Order: sequence, then structure tokens, then C-alpha cells
Amino acid sequence: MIYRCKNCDYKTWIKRARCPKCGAIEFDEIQGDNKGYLLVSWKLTATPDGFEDVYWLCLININGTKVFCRSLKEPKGVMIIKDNGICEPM
Amino acid sequence: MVAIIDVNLTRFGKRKENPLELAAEASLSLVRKYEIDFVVVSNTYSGEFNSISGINNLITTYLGMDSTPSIRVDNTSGSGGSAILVAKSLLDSRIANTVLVIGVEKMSDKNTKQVTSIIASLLSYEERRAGLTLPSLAGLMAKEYMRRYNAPRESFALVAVKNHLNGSLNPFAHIQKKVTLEEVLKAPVIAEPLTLYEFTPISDGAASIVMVRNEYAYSFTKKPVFIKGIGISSDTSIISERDDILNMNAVRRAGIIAKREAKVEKVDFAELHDMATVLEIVEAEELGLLSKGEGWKAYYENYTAINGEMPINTSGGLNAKGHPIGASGVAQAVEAFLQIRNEAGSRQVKNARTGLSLSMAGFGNSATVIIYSDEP
Repeated sequence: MIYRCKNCDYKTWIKRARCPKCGAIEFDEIQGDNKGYLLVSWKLTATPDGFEDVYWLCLININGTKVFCRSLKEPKGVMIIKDNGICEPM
Repeated sequence: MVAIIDVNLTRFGKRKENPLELAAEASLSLVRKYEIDFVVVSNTYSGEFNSISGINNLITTYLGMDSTPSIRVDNTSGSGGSAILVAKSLLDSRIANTVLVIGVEKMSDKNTKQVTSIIASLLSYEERRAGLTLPSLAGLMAKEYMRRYNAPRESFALVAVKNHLNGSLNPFAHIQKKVTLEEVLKAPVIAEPLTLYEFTPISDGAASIVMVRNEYAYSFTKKPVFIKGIGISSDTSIISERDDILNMNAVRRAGIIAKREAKVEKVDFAELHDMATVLEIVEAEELGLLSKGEGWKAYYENYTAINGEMPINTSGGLNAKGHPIGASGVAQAVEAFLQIRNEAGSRQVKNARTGLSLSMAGFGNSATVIIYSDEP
């Protein structure tokens, strides 16, 4: 899910009550955009409670919006986001 | 403006005492000495770590100050700097005349995974769900810094070597042991490429300072330390929306505000928020202490050592002194107080008259910069 400000087109994947750019309060909800290309990834070996012991963190670009996810397989190229913040290479 | 007239702190580390006992260890001597009329407690996670709420009132009651007003300031890792700002506001507005700031946190009852998870709760829900943590962001920052500025991996490790050396000279530090470059590089990786020694340990501890308005400072001590400038700024807590992981906007802006207010361009030492080694370098660059993109070079030249041109984290920093969240920003003020009064012992910076501290929340979500001086 990506949120796009109806007034200025600012896009974010994290819901806000008010657009940080123009102050408008109405957003379009864009569904189904769950594929993006990998910008950077790095390995985390000290992970928080309730998570896998090792994973790669990934910053991916979905149509111009940056999104974080974690991959249990070595990330590369185009990544697809699954549930619970997990993603994997296509 | 305002001044610090006295300080005290506990040793940082894994302590058996509860948060109230730690707070008392850091403040009882001050409470007995001064007529405190307001207490500001810097603390963030007493609910999560210790199942305590209203810790400020519990502390004043424990200290036998039942009718003294108190508040808790929570701004995560930046609570200490924010608490000093609140104390200054109480003094400036004449709501209070003598304010005791106590920073305290008791973290070690939880294991590393639990602590990592609790601290990550300052991130947005979506980014936390993706597995992001505060240490992980330092890994990303280090990777990008190396790529953009061609900085060697070792340069971050040299920060840990320097801060552990300083910590070994500080009897209040959590880690009082030197480490070699090789030991840092060979330690277990926490967040690629950074290793265990490049992160702060999980610490318990407390620190206290007493603040008054300038005009009363000399009636308490011959050597007050004046707060000449204080700046606070914020940035988005959504990390993926930041334009550049290497731009710490809140740090830069808070530094500009504090220096402008203090009318100070150059300081003699600085205490920065080195939750991870790479942060010390990037923060120093944002604050104009080191050149942008070239800060890493300073660590090959001892430029930031106690006897260097720009001493940074003479206390050992969060990296070696430890990081009991609520206590850290207050402990930075304690180090500034000792340095400016020429009371820092083997960590003493020569001719230290003006210092700077950076107390930072999250990954630059909020930052408070304070300029200290021996003159009003």
C-alpha cells in the first residue's frame, strides 16, 4: 500500500494524517504495488525479539517510493514484498 | 541564561540496584547540599524495562522530597539534552530557582533481543515490522559513508579504539578496557559492516546536575559552568522518507542554533552521541567539528584524541562509558562540567574552556546541542 497526497502527489508507504510537504489531509491509497528494485541491502545479525536470527535489510524503490523490508534470501535485482515486512528476490 | 553548579554520577554498567537506588546514588549528595525546588527526571523506558510509571514522583519520594515538584522528560536517547532544556526553561521563566536534573535508566534486566526490540519501538510501525533496528541503521550509514567518501572500513573501528582508550581512563565508564584495531575488526558482526565493539553496550546508571540562573551561580561555587547556548531540532521519524541517510538534519540545525545563541564558533572538546562509531564521524561533520566527507581521516591522525586538536568523547562516549538511555545526555553535561573546571583527571583536555554536547534521539529524530563555557 502506498499513500499519495491528493494535493501535491507526495508519496509515502507509511500513513500520515497530514502531508509533510503541503499540509493537505487527503490521500489516495494505491493498492497492489508490491514490486520494486533493490537500492541497497545489508546483513543484520543482532536482531530484535520475535524476528529471525539473521536477515538482510533491504531498501527498495517502488515506483519512486522508498520502502524497507527484510529478506531471508540474499537480495538482488527486483524484490517482491510479502507479508509482515518480508520480501524476496523475484 | 543558566549555569551548572554541581554534578554527580554513578558508575555505568550492569548494576544490581533498581532505578530509584541508582537515581539516589547519583543525586543524594546534591539533595543534601542544595535547596532544590524542582526535579526534572530524564528517563524513557522505566515502563518497558522496569514496569514503573511516574518514576519522577517515585524518585522524589525515595529522596525524601515528597513535596518538591517533578516531571519526567522522555525523548528516547535524547532525553538528557531535552531535560536540560526543560530545566533551563523552568529557570528562565522563574518557575524554579534551583533545579536538579537526574538522568536514569536500568536496562540490564532484559536480554539483548528484548532491549533491541524495545528501543526499536521509536521507529514507525511499518519500518519496525520490516525488521529495522537502531543498530541496523548504523550499518546502512556506514555502508553509504564508505561508498560515497571512499572511507576505509577501519576508520570506524578507529573510533572504537579511541573511545575505549578514553573509557579506560574514566572510573565511571561501563567498559574500562582498551581495545585494539584488530580486536574491533575481528569481533562478531552486529550490523554489517560494524562489529560488537562499535556499538554501545547495554548499561544501567544515573547522572545528576544542579542548575541555577547565572546571577546566583557564583554564590554556590567559584567555578560554575555556564550553558551559553542550547538548540533543539527534529527530523522525520520515517527513515525511508529521508533524502539521504548521511544528512543528519536535526543535528546540523540544533548545532547552528546553539552556536548562534552562544556566539561561539570553535569549541575545545565535544561529547557526541556515538551509539555506533560511524555516528560520531557523521555528527562531527554535521556540527562543523570535522570536514564533511573527510571526518574519517581525523581518526588516522589522533585529531580527535584527548590531546588532539578536537577531542571528541573524552569520557569514552556512549561507546565505552555506556548508554543508560535517560542518563546519557545528563552524563555528557557532567563530563563538560569536569573538563571546564579542570577536574577530569587523566582525561583532562588542556585549556578546556568551551565544550559542546549532542544528545540525540532515535537516528537523528531529535537532537539537542548544548554549548558550555567557563564564562557567562
